[in-house]
Amino acid sequence: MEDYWLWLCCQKELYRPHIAKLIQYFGSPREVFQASGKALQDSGCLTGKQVTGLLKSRAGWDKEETRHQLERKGISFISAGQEEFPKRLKGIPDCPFGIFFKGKLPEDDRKTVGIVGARRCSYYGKQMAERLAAALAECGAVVVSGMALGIDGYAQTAALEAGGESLAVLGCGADVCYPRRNLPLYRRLEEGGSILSEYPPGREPLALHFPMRNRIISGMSDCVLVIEAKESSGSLITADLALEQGKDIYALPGRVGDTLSAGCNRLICQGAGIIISESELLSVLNFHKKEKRKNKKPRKPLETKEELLYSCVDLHPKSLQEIVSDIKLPVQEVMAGLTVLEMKGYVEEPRKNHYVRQV
Amino acid sequence: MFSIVQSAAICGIKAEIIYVEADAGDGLPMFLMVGYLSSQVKEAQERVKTAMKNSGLRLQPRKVTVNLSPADLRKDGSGYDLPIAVAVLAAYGYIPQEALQDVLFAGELSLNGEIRPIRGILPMVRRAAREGLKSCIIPKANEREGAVIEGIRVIGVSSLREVIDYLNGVEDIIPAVFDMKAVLQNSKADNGEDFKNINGQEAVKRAAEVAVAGMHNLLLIGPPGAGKSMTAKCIPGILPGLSLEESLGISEIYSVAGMLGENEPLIKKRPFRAPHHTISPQALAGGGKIPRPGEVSLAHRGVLFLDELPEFRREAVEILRQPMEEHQVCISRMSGSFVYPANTMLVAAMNPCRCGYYPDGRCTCTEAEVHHYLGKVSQPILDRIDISIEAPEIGYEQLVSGRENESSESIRERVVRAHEVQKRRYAGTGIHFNADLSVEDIRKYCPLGKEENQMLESAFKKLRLSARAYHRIIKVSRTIADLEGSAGIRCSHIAEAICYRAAERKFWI
Repeated sequence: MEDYWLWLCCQKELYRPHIAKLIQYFGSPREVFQASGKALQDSGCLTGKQVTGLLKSRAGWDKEETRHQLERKGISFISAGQEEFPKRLKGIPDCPFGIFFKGKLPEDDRKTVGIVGARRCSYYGKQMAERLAAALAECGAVVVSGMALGIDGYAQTAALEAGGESLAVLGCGADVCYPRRNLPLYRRLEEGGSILSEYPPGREPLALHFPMRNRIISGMSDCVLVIEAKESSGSLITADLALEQGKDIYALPGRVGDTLSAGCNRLICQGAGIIISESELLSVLNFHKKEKRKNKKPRKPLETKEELLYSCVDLHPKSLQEIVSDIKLPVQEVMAGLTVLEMKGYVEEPRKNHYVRQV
Repeated sequence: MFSIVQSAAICGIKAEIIYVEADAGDGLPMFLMVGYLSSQVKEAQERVKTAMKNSGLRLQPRKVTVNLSPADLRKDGSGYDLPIAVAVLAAYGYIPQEALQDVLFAGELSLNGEIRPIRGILPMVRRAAREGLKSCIIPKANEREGAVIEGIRVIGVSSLREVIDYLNGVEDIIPAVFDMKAVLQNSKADNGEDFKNINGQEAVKRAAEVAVAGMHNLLLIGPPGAGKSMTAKCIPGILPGLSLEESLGISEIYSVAGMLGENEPLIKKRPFRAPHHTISPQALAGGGKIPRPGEVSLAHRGVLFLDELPEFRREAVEILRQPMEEHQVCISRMSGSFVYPANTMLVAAMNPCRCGYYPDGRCTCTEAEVHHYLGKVSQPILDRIDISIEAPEIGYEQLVSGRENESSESIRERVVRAHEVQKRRYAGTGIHFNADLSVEDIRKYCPLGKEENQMLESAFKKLRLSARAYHRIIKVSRTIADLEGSAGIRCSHIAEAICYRAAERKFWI
C-alpha cells in the first residue's frame, strides 16, 4: 500500500484536494492505481489533463526505481497511515497524505516550537529571533520554521549554532533549496536537523505552495512564536492556522507605528501570549533551563570618552553621521571610538557604518 | 632634386620623428607616396597638389616620389600634409634645403592652401625640443599649445604661402610665447567645488581626506541626494597643486585626444572625469582602431569618478583592473602597442539598492532585488578599493546650519604634508603612496607595536576580516598616521581604518 501512496503523492499535477477526492471516490490509492482511464475520467475528480498525466505516469511506474532515486537523494517517504508518521501532524485538519523528508524527524514526545516572522526584519527582530531560538534549542526544543530569509533563517541558524535541532518545512521539493541564499543553512539542516515537505522531490517553489506549507509548520509545532510580522503577512497565516489547530501562540511586542510589529501587536490584542524575555518564555513553556554552562566573559570597562560615545548609540541602528552630529567630538575620534566599542562588545555594526547597542 | 623634411608621428602619447623625403626627377609625370601609410595619409597628395595650385605655384610635370621613413611605422592622421608639401616644394627648388635644417613641420592643408589644426602638437614639439631641433612650424591654431614647451622656436602659420615666404626669408614670423608661470599661478584658486560648501557629512569628508592623503580608491554608498557626487567633485580641490611636469604630462594626453582648446593650451587643473554609466569599455580604458586615450587616461593625476557603479557595464569596470594596478593602459593593435599613462584615483559612488533607500522604510525593493543589485558590483574592483564609507541622507538641521565648514584649502595643507611624508619615506623605491604598498612592503614600512597587533588580531577574529581586508586596514592606518604626523601606527589609527573597511556582503543583508 505504501508504494501506491508514494505513487499518488509523487504526481506532479495533483495537490491534496485532488488526492482527497480520489481517495473518497475509489477508496484507496491501490484502487486509484488500478482504475481504468474511463473510470478516472468519470469520477469527476480530475481534469482531462490530470487524468492523462496519471495514466502516463502509471504506465512508466517503477517503484524500485523511484525508491532508489529517493534514497540517492537521501529523502524518505512516509504515508499518513504509517505508525511512524508524526502524531501531531495527523491531528491537524488537511493532514498531508504523505510527507517527504530528509534527516530525522523530531520524536513525538519531543517539544517543538515554531518560530516565524518577516523576511525583511529589523535588527531587533533578528536579535530576538536568534536569542529565543538559541535559548529554546539549549533546553532541548526543536525549532520549526520555513527556512525563509529573515526571521525563519536566523532562528534556525541560531538553533543549530546553539547545538540544538531544527526542522525546516519547505514549500518545494525537499531536495530543492529555496531560497538559494540559505544554502549554507540547508546543508547544515541536512546534517543536524531535518527538512520536510509534502511536495514530491523536484517540485519548484510556487507561490501557492507557501500558505499550504504554513499549516505544516504550525502542525509540527507545539506552540508558535511570531517575532515580527506586518499586518496581512504569511506569518499571520501561520498564526491563524496554529489557532485553528489549537496551538498556543506567542508574539513579540513592538512599538505602535512600527509596521513590522503591527501584526504581532494585533495578535497580542487578540489574546496571544506576550514574549517579554527568554526566561519568562521558557518557564511558560515548562522548560527548566539548565544552569548556564558558559559564563559570559565580563566586558572590559569603558573609558570616559567611550562612555560618552556609548550613550549616543541606540537600540536601533544609528548611522555614523547621526552619531557624529549628536556628539561633540572630532569625526575621526568617533570612528576610532566606535570600533573600540565594537571590539569590546558594547556595540555592533549590523550594516556598513550603522551602529547599535549590543544587549 | 632630393629633399628631406622632419615631422612627427604620435604613438600612444609619445611622438616619434618621421623623415619626409621627396624626389622630383625625370620620368613619366606622376605622384607616388610610399612608407606604410594609412588612407588618410595617402589622401594627402590630393590636398597637397590642389593647395599648391591655389597658392599660386605651378609645378612642372615630373616624376615625384615621396617617402615617409621609418617605413615600418604606421602613419596616421592628416598632420603630414604640410611636411609633404614642403618637401615637394623643396625638391622643386621653391624652398632652399638649408632652411629645412633642424625644423619640424606638422599641419593639415585645406584645398585653398590654409593650414588647419591637428591633434598631438604638444608631444610633437616636446619631442622636437628633446631632439635638439631649433624650431617647429605648426598650424596657427595650435601655436599656443606648442609654445608651452621651452627651448624651441614655435612658429604658427596659417597658409602655405606664408610658410614658403618665411622659409625663403621674405617674411619673418614672430615665434609664439606662452608665459607658463603666470598661468600656473593664476590658476591655483579655481579648483572646482569646495568642501566648505558641504554641510554635515563629516565622516564622508574625513574619508575623502584620508583617501586623498594616501591616494586610496574611495567608494561612497548612500541614497540619492546625499551629496556623493558633490563630495567627489570636491576631491580634486584637496589634491596637491599640479607641478609643471605633471601639468605637461596631462596636457600631452589631452593633446593626443584632441581636447586642448586653442585658448587653453595647458591643463592647469587636476582632471575630474565623470563618465556616464553607459560608457563602453574602449571609451573607458582607451582603444579604437586608431587608439585614443580613454577616460581613465584623461583622468591621469586626477580623479576618475564612477557614479552609480553597479549600473556600469561589467566589462567596462572589469577593464579598469590593469590600469588600477599598473597606473598605465597598454593597448595592442596590429599597427603596434600603445601605452597611455593612467595614474588616477578612483572614486565610485553607488546607491545601496535600485531605488536607493535601503534599509530605510521607503525602500521598495525586495530582498532579492537588493542582493542582485549588490551582486552587480564586480568583486575584483571592490578588492581594489581601500576605503568605503556610507553617505547617509542629510537632515534639515544640517542643511541649514550656518556652521563654518572647513575649506578645501586647509584640508589640502594636511594632505600635502602627508604626501611629503610619504615622498620622503618611499624615496627611491618606486612607491609613491601608501595605496601602492604590496604585502611585502607593508611588513617593511608599517611595523606594528604589541598593542596594535593585539587590536588587529581581535578585530580580525571578531569582525571576521579577510586577509585582503586586513592588509587594506594596515595601509589605511599608515595614511591616517601620516596625516597626523605620527611616525608609528597607533591603535586609534587602526580603529579608524577599521571603520573604512569594505562594505562586505553581510552589511546589506
